[in-house]
Amino acid sequence: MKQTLIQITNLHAALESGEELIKGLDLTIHNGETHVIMGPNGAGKSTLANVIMGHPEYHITSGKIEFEQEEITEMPTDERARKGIYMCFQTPEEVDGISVSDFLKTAKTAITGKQIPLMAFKKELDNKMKLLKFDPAYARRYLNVGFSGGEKKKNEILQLLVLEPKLAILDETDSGLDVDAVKTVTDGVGHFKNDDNAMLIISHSTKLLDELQVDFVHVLVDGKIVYTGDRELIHQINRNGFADFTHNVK
Amino acid sequence: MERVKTQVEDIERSIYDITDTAHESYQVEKGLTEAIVREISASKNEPQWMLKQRLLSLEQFRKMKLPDWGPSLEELDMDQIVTYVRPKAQMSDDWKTLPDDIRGTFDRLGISKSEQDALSGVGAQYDSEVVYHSIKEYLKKQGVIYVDMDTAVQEYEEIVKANFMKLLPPNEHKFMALHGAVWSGGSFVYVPEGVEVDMPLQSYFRLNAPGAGQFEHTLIICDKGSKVHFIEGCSAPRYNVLNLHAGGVELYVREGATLRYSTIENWSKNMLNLNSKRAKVDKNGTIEWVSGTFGSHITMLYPTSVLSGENARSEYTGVSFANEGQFLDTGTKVIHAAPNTSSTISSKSISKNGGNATYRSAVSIKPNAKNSKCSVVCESLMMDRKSRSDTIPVMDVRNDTVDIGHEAKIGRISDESIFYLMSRGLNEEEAKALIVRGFVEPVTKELPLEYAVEMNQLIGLELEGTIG
Amino acid sequence: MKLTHINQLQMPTWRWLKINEAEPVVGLAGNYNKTLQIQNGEKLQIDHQLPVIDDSQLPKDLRRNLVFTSKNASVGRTITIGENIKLKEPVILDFEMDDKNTALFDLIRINAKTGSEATLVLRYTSKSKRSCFHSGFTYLEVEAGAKIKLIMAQMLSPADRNAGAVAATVGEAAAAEVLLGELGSAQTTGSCNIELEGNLSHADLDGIYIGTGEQKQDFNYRIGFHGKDTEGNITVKGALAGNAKKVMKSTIDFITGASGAKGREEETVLTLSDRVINLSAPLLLCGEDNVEGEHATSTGKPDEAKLYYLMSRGFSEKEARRLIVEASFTPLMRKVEPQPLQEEWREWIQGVMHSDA
Repeated sequence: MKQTLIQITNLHAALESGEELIKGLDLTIHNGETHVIMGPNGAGKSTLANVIMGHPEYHITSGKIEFEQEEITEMPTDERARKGIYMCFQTPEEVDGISVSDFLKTAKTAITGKQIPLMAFKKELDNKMKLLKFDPAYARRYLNVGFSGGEKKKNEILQLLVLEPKLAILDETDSGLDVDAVKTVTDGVGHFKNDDNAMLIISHSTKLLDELQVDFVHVLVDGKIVYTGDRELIHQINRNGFADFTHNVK
Repeated sequence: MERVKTQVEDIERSIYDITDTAHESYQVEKGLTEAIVREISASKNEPQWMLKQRLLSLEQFRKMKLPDWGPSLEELDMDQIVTYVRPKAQMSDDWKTLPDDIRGTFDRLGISKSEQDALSGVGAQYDSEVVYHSIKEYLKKQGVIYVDMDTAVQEYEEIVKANFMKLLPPNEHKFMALHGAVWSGGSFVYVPEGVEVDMPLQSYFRLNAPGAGQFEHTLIICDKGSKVHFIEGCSAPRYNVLNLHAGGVELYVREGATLRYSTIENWSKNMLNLNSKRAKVDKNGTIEWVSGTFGSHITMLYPTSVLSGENARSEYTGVSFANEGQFLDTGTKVIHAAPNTSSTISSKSISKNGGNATYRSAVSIKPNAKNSKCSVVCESLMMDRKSRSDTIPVMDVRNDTVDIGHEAKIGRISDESIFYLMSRGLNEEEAKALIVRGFVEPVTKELPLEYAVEMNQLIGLELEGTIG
Repeated sequence: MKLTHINQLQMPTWRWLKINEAEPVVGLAGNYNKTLQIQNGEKLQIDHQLPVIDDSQLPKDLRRNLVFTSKNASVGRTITIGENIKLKEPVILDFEMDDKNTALFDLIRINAKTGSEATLVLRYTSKSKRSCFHSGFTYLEVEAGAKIKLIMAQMLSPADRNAGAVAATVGEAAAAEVLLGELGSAQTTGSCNIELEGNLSHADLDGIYIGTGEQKQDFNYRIGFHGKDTEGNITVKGALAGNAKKVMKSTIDFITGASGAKGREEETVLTLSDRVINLSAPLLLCGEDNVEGEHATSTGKPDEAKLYYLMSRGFSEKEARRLIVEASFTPLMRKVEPQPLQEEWREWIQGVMHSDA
């Protein structure tokens, strides 16, 4: 029996200025599912991702978010991470002075609440880096400092594999990547995905989506999901754009 | 599951604050008079030239005014400071012979343990005198000298006389003069030609008597091609009266030699820390300053490098953390006085809770310092708007074949960085602590592991629980 | 009469650097008698009375410039640009010294009312063979929503002495661009202080200087950030040749409460002789945590690689150097109006480069 992993009910979210960005959004994701969100620029896709992650810039004005039947609407970001929500950032931050390896060990310990023996962790990290064809030297480099766009995104996937969240949100992870990099991301995602966890992918391109098992495709326009379909929708949108969906709004 | 919490704590001070009550055996009167200076000199049995040097310094001290720049030193009343306190202990090279309470202090600070494992030699000063000094046998055999300063004045008179207070002229500023008049304790190091001292030498200064001053003098001479790392640690328990530290450090780096001088300053919040440090670097020599300033009420500290030989090099890496009630005015001066000299300066400062951190520097490139290079990077982190952070750098360039770059940045930890780290499970305090740890990493990585660890503890980053 | 204790570093430092204040400037009794020509000033309100300036908010060293200039002022003007008046042509105030007019003290107050926009140029030149003296004080108030560009062109002769000062306050969502060209005189002390009072106010303080021969230059440029979300940039480009001596003090001062402020300071100096004396003190002062402040200074010879590249295209070394110096000035030069003035500056700089063999 499929369990509901995350349930978003009639969500309204706005900026501090009062400008509403999410205008009544419903979304349910079960274990094992992969959902895709597509939509025109400015529709609110990244906002949705950040709202689920608890970005302090956005205020939820009504509605709620439940994760594993627990309401997380007011929960701070780090608690959400510890519950098992993870986001691959679109533009990951550079944090100077702390190595990728040290950082991952800290984060893993923070999330699992357990101390991890150093050697065991290093081994796990090594394996996952190999999987992603990530040069092992990157483990010692400072977190994202001086990384190219593609390397930063790869690093986000590496973190995904190490932290093993229940819900992984990918915010335009494949944008700006060359063919090889997309393949690596796809491989990584493939390794991550199983029947117990779920993914929410925000993407434009078919490069990534073609390789994945996609269960639902939602079209987000002007802060609301206006249509839900299956993977056929991706091709339809790539052929015709969003015109079919935008004129239905307002 | 219990999880070790991480916070950007104020410096963990309890181990430093334990005082040894009423330990002094012999104190001079408060204040500064010729009689007191003579008394100090006599009690050490000093040669005539040293007494003369002291009296000349005293004269200078009286003539000179307090600096009219930097933090206010109005609180200092020399008439209330006791300039000399001799502890009830004979100097020894065996910890076991020290009185329990003195040894206990150094044990708590981890000094004796470090010595066995990780140091070549240790000097421990308690109030105005060195109580412990030792150096590993094999180094002694190679001709390395590491003794307390008083012994050096007696046993290595010639070399000391030739170099003492030559880099720190008493007429340069009031506290150099004060130092020249009442200096006591400190170490003398001589590394012979070609000798590389593999493990660091450490001197630890502990000021226990309230209202006293510490004026230790460190004189290091690295002969040609030699190499040594010297670590200086200092602390004092917290009192309600002011304590004063006006130590002097003179470093002679001869041709081709390399000297690394690391300091972790963790004086208590009643301390006025007005130390003078200067290095003279000859041809192909290198001086590396590694400096962590965490304690004291007021610090004015500017290690100075005089690059007097061709290809001489200076590297300065410093971090300071100013908390409530602290005025940390630190930086460096580099004088390029020969061709092809180079210097790098990397300074990081953190201000929190009303603390006041100032970075102050002077880079002077003389006309004959052709083809010199200098690079300065300073970054300041403001943790809140009660605090202050000021950067006052000056460059004085007198020829046209130099390459100088200077960058400075100031700001706070970005919300985006905090959000990113929180999205990986760290709470807000942990996220800030991680970022601050990364921020000071350039200094921690220059220190031997034990000191890097101590430094991280000093910043209250107890990440070892989660990082290991 | 001497002007002393001016151009003071906001936070003094070691005295041996001799940078805490400028050397005194020796003045001459004022005798400037010429009628001030103002071009394109028709839409302005111009008052010929000596302006009264509130000095309470001025740094104390700048007050000395004000007092010195006011006491001896031979030219005083209050120029008001009315609400929402937008001037297309730059307003030019021309001061030209000659053998009969060798000492000028001018006090100019410019009040730009809400929503106004204008460019004003103050041009100081000298035809005299005798040693002349100029002490000027310009006070600029940019009210809410106004945009003002002020160009100060100091083009005096090699024997002259100059003490110039500009003080500005910028109101809510207003912008001030102050471009200071210090090209001439034997000794010049230039001071500019801009206070970003209003929220969202913006200032660009640009400086161009060129020193050669025995010229002595002392500059003190400061932007104080008071309001929220303010932005200020100090950009200085200079070249030094001969035995010139220059002291450049620049200060970005974030005052507690200036949340969201962004301040940047940059100086680039090209040195063309090995006898120049080049001092820089880029200060970054901060009492507010929610700010971004940075500064960068670079000093040195023209890049060898660039020189080589130009020479490989047929330019002689001298021509190549000249080109590199001019190129470094270009971004700021482009802001100079009107075109003839820009040309004058270019020629001036070229003249210095040519004569400096």
